[in-house]
Amino acid sequence: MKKSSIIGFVLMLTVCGFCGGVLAVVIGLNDHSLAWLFETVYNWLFSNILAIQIVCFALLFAGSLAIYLVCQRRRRLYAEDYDRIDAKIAPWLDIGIVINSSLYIIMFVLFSLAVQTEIRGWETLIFLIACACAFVMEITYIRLVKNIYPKRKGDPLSIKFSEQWIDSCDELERKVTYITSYKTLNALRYVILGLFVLFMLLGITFPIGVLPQLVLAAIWLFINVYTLVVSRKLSNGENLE
Amino acid sequence: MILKNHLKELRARHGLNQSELADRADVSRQTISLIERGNYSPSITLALTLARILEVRVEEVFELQEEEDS
Repeated sequence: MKKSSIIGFVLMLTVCGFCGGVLAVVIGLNDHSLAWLFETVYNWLFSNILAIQIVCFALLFAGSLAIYLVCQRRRRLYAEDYDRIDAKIAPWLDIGIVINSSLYIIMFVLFSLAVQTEIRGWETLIFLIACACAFVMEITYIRLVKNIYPKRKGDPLSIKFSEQWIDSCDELERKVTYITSYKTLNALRYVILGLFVLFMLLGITFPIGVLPQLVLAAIWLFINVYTLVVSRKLSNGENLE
Repeated sequence: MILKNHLKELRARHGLNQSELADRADVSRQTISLIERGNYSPSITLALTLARILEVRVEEVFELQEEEDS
């Protein structure tokens, strides 16, 4: 191990520990005002959940749809000009797909907030409509990608869609997917660790219980175990092609 | 050691554009583009496939060169 990497590691631990300590002190000193802020925001969210759902749904769906329409129009304009397709369409397709995924996530969060005490009719309806719209947009995006890149295969309604999709990718596309996944996994580990620390500190002031930490621990454990199992299989030569 | 290629010249000699070569090699056009730019080193299978399509030996398409010290 290089001296510089040991020094860097110790420095990082010191800085993180210092920041964590400062955060704990700030929360401890201001626990009343923070608790008041948290309760106010929570009550406001809870009272206006339907309006927030509708606004979030409208904004995210409109954004996703607008990007799709722009990509579709450019597809017709650029035809087989793949240099322009890669430069002007592909990045926007990625953004549109992320916005569409965000719609699912935000709707789930808002709906779970809405049904904390009772099942609410209108909120449930908006949630179902939003999820249905996001699902339809997802399939529409996939169809557009398949139209632009005809070699891509996979039925989005099939359970085996992910397998079919990666099987239809060429070696470069697979390499990009695998490197991206690896980097995302590593980033996720840091995010989980950060959230662990954050929830521990928040638990000093707010009665959040241990459920957040348990959920994070379960996810962390699953990631580690699953990574190990998959990498062992691949090391034995299974499914390397 | 770095991998150099003559893919673009050989492709032009056969009158193929990137999309046509990609179709014949069953890869994406982007793969051919990145190989030509030297940003991606193909697998042995793909290298041999490209050589076969271009009707040359694989050593005529790809060659290893010593990295120049800056």
